[in-house]
Amino acid sequence: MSIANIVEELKKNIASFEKNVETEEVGLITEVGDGIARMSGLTNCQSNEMLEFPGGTFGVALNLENETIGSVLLGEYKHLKEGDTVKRTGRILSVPVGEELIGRVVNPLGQPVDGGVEIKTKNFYPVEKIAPGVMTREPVTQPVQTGIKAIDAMIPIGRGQRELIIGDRQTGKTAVAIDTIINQKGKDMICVYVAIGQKESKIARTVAKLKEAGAMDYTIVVLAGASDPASTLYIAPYAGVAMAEYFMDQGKDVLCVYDDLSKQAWAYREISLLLRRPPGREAYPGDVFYLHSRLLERACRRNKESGGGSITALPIIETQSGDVTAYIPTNVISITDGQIFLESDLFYRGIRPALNVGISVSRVGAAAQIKPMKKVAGKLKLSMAQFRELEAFAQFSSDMDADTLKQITLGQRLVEILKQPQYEPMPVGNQVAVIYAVSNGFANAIDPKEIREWELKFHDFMTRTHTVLLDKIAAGNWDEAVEKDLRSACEDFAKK
Amino acid sequence: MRKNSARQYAVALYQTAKDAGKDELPKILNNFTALLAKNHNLKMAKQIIKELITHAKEAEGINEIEITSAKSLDNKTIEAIKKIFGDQVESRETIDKTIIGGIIIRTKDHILDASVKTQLQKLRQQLI
Repeated sequence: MSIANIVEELKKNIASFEKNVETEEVGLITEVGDGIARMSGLTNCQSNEMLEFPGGTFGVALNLENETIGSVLLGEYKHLKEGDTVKRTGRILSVPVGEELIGRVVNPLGQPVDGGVEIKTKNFYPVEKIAPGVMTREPVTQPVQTGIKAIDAMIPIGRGQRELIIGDRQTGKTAVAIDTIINQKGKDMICVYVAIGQKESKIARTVAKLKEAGAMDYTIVVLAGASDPASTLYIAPYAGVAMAEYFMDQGKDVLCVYDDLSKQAWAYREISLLLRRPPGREAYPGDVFYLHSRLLERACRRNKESGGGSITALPIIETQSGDVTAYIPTNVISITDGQIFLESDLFYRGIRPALNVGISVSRVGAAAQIKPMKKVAGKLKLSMAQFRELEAFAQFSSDMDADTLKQITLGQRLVEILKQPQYEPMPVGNQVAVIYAVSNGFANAIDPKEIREWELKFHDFMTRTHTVLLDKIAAGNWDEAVEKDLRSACEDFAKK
Repeated sequence: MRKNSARQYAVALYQTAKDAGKDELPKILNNFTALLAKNHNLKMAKQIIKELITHAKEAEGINEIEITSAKSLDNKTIEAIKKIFGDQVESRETIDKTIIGGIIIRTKDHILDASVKTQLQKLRQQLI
């Protein structure tokens, strides 16, 4: 474009500029500090409305009181002082949503923090929204393949479900979520990973890993780091789900990971105490249950008439030394449709993912499991339960009857086969095949220590010679013919 | 016991003193200070006075406005502006060169920003 053109364009723009003066509603700051501000005036301010402070800082009005308004500040507040003017914006707190966000790392206000170009979206969605009602929902029927054998077989997750991942620090909670995101490649899923109060170094590593696995092509990372103010930590999951809702409204399936909600509850506790709301149990405010329930209720599977689409939620909660009876864990357990329990004991024994199969449950996922997986998982669950019962007993006695011995042999191999390294999600066809092979005793002759090697060879063999069968299984076909094929494949492999 | 705010004291004092005769005023004030002392609230006196003035003006229908301009305005302009805001208007003028031109008028809860600075900012937003 030549200079003359640019000048012409500018002239046109300037000529079309309308000089209009509007009155704005203002208030005065009476108190500011610790990330919150109180102000007088602003008589018509709405709850949850965005307020504009001097210097481009925004805040959200949370407490509307008789003479003052209490608000949290989103961002820097050192330059604010008593007597500064605060303007109403008339907008309820909202975030930019759209395809432009995919592949980006943004803060809870939708601004990029990955050093990339500015994000310009057409649409804004309110951060707080009432969850879809009963008439617009339908039962969970489609699976979310996590790619983790133990989870897909025994604790299946469906699209639209809310499955809690709970465990102590350093038990691989994030790993389960990240593996799930990586496994969504080519499965028509948009993923939103909300990192709340985590170390920025950890996020940098996670994002690098997602990029390496090609998962950033369908993932949005919403980041509220450990050094960010409590207010941004508090709104981060709502911002994430608002971005997810946009895609659901397009009829797409979305996976939302909130990592983790205990830190969000801490942030909310901090804000509430500073706003002088009365503290309750563990100093959390009275509405901390609502804090999480209103977030997780927004996960849903919508029926065709209402536009379809789904949001699957994977909230993460960190427990302190395995205490699930603390306030926040019990709350979230009761809200979600099941939980994946990770234990440090198992983790240190080398069972990774450190899944406690006994107390992990999925309340609705079984309906979404594909038929072949349902068939092989039934047997697997039974064998595992029997093995757990005999395990302790087996440590004491040396002579056991043949039946018991057989079950223990099988159990040991099943435990080994459910181990899986990080960042290596497995296609569902292979999962079914290998679980079928082991639970039908094809690996009984292998030393448990060598199961991993055996498994690699098995997958190699299957993908080389039985691709059609694997595809058939992955498509959900299971009848006598398929089972017969699978059995003969296992026999062929055993012969080699 | 719930603590009274400065505003509540001010409103109470205003309402008691409003209809009182000239002779009663010293007595009311005496009682009021005694009440403040009893409640250990004497340190709020300054705030109460401030609140009393705003409340009194509000109750008597006096509008307070603040006019900010780049150059000092002549009386005629100020009177014209005052007229818009009602019969009883008290104005305060401040000069702020950074607004370049135009005026900013502030009432209690509203701000009317007709400064050149804001217009230029809006233009900038439109161009970018």
